[in-house]
Amino acid sequence: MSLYQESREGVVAEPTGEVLVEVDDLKTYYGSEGGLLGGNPVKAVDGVSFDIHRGETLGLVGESGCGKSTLGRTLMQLESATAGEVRYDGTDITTLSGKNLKEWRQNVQMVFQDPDGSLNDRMTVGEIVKEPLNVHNWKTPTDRRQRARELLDIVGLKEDHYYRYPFQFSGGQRQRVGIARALALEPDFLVLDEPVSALDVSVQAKILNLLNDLQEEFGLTYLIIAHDLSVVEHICDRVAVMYLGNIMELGPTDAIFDEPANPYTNSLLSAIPEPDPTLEKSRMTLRGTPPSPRDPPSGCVFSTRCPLKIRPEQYEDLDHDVWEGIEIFRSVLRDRGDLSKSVRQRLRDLLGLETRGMDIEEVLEEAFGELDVPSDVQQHIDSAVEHVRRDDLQSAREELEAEFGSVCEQEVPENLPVGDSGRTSHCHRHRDEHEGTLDYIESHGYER
Amino acid sequence: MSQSEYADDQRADQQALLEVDNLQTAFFTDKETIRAVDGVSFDIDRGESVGIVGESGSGKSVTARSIMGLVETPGRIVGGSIRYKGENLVGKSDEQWRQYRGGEIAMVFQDPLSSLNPVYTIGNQIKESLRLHQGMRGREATQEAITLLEDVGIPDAPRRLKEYPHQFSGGMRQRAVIAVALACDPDLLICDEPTTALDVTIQAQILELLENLKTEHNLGIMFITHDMGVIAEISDRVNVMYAGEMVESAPVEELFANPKHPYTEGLLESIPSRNERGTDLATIEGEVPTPNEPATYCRFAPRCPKAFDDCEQVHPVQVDVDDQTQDHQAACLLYPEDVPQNEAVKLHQSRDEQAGSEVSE
Repeated sequence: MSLYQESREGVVAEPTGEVLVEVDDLKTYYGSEGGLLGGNPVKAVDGVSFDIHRGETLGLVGESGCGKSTLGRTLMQLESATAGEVRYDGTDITTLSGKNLKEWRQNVQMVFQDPDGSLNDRMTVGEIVKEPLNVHNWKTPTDRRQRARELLDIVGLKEDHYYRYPFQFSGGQRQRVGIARALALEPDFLVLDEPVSALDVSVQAKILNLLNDLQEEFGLTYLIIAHDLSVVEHICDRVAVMYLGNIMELGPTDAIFDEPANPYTNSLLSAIPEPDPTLEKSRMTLRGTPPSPRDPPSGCVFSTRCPLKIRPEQYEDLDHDVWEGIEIFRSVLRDRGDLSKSVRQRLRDLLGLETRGMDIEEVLEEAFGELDVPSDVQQHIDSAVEHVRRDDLQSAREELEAEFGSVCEQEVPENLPVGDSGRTSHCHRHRDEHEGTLDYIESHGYER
Repeated sequence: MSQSEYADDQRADQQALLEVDNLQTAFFTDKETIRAVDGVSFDIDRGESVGIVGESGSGKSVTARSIMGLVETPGRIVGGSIRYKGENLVGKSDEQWRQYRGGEIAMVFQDPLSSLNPVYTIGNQIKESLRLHQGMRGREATQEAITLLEDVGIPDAPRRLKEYPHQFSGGMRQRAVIAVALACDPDLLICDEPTTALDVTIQAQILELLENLKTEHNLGIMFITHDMGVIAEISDRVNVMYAGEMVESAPVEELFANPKHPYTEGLLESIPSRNERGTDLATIEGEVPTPNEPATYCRFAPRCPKAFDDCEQVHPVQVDVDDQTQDHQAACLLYPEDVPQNEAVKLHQSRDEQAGSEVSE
C-alpha cells in the first residue's frame, strides 16, 4: 500500500485550493560538472517557484529551449535538481531515493509528446499498459490483465485492442495507449509533456476532451506542458509562462489571455495566428531568437528582446526606430562575444586569432541605415565603434550599456502581484515608478 | 447557371502560373492501390498564395510532390494535367523535369535541418544554387548570397555565410532554406508545412517574411499546412483536402465566414480557440479513411453529421455552392444550395459520369 494512499479519499474534480505540489526556487543545470573546456552550465531551469493545487490543471508554456520540459522532468525526478525543493504533499521529493522514490512514483505519471517514441513496438498494447503494474508488483497477474482491459475501455479503446501492436494504431489511438499506461497505478498527478502537439486538430480535440473527462472522473491534477497556446487556453485553470528558465507570468487563464501583463506574454500571444482572416493585427514581433541559456542576459532575462524595455530617462522620447537600431547594434555585439562558442573558437579567441572588427560598417548600416540619429546618440555609437575597431568588444559593450542600459539589465525583477486574481509577473514595469505594461502598450499602439 | 458564366471572370483573363487539373497520383502496393491524390484541381496565379489544408493522410504532401515531379515508386501520376506557364509537366522525363525544379518551382520542406547539408556552410549551399541555376560564381555569387540572406532577415549576413547549419537556430535554418530556394529565382514556391516545427514567435517571423517575398518577387506560393490559424494568416485562397480529394475551395475570408462543406465546418469547429474556454471541444467522429478504391460515394459520408442515403451512392463533384456566390466550390451533395435536393444529386451524378468518361478516353 502506498504511503500516500489515504490522500486519494474524497476525490474532487474542482480545484480545492489545497496545495499538492510546491516548487521552491528550483534550479536544474546541465553540465555544471564543468572541466577546463566545459564552459558555463546550461541553466535550463533557473530558480522557479510555484504551487500546483489539487484537482487543477496548470499549463506551462514557452518557446522551445525555455526549460519547460526540463521543469516537468525535474518534478517527476527524471532529472535531478541542482538546487531548490519540490514538495509533494509535504514531502521533499528531491531527497527521495531507493525504495521511497519508487513508492512515491506510483503517485505521479507522465505522458510523453511522441507516441511513436514512447511505446515499445515489440510489446502488445496490453503488455504496455500492464507494464507499470508489473513494475510495482500490483496484485496478481490475473488482476493486472483485468485492470489493463478496464484501462483500455476508460481511454476509449476497445478491449480486443489488448493483443494488437502500437504500429497498428493511428497517432490519436497511440496517445490514448500512453494515457492508459499513465493511469494504470491510479496516480494523483500527471505531467503531460506536449500531449497533443503531434496530432491533427480534429484528433487533438478528442484527446483534450478525454483528458478533461478523466480529470473529472478521477480527480486528477495535471501539469500540461505545451507550446500551442490555444490548447493551454482551452484546458488549463492557471497558466505559467516560461522564458529562458524563468517563470515570467503566472496566473488564472482568463487573466493571462484577456489581459496579459508581462511583456513576454504579450509578445507570445500576439504571435498566435488567429483563425480569422479578416483580422489585421499589428504584431509585437520579437527580434531574433532567445539567447543561450549558458549565458543568460544580466538583469531581466527578457531584456535583450523586450519591446517594452525601460529606457533611460534622457532617451524616453527617442525615435522608436533609432532605439531599435541601438538594440540591434547591441545584440550583434553581444552575439559576437557569446560564451556558447565552440571549443575551437574559444581557443582562437584565447590565442587572439579571431578578429572581429572587420565588417562593423555593415552592422551599422543594418542597424541605422537611413535613420536620422541624434548627435548625442551618435557620439556614443561612434565611440563604441572605435572600441570595436581596436577589437575591444568588452569596452564597446560597456560603453553602450552605461549609456543606454537601464534597470532591466541591471537588476533581476521580482515576481510582482498584478491585479487581484493572484497573478504574478516578472517585470520591472509593475513597480510604481515606471509606466505600467498595459498603459505602455496602449500608448504605443500595439495590439495583442 | 451555366459554367460559361464563370469561365470568363478575371481569373481566366490571363493564364494562371500553375493550373492543376484533375490530378491523380496513386501508389501501387502488392496489397492495394492507394489513390493518394484523386482528382484534384486548382490554380495558382503570380503574387497569389494558395493554401491547402487537411489532416495527415489527406494527400496534401503528395499533391506538392506531384507538382515537383518527386513522387517515388511505387507511386506515379496516373491522370490529369499539371500546367506550368501553359506547359504540361505530366509525362515529362526526369531530365526535362529537372529544368523546372528549383529554377521555376522551388520547395521548402517542414524540417529545415534535413533539407540542409550538415557538412557544407550555409554560404556554400546558397552559392551552389546560384551556380547551378543562374551561373554565378566567385565574388559575384558571394555578394548575391549575402543579399539573399539579408532578404530573408538574417542579421550579420557576411559572417553567417561562413557558418554551418548546426550553428543556426531553428527559425534561422528555415530562413536559410528559403534563401536557398530563392537563389534559384523561382516563380512558384511550394511550402510544405514550413512552420510546423517552429515556435509561434518564430512562425510569426517566417510568415511575415513569406508575405513580403510574395509581393517583392511576385511569387506564386502554394502553402500546405494543417493549422487553420496559419492558413488564415498567409493565404488568399484556401483548398480543403480530404482523403485525396478537394472538398472545398474558396477565398480565405469566405471560407472562414461561410464554410459550406460539413468537413470544413467540423475542422473549423475543432480549433480550440474557436471553442469557449472550459467547454468540451467539438470533434469529428471517426478517422480519415485510406482512399484505396475508386470513389463511387462521398468519402466523408461515414463521419458526416449531415449525411443522407444518396451520399453512399453518388460521388459528389466540385460545384458552386449557390448562384450568387462566385468562386466558392464544394464537393458535397447538399450543394448547389439553391436547387432542390434531388436535382442537386442528379447534377453531381451526371457531372461525375462525364468526368469518368473523359478519363477513360
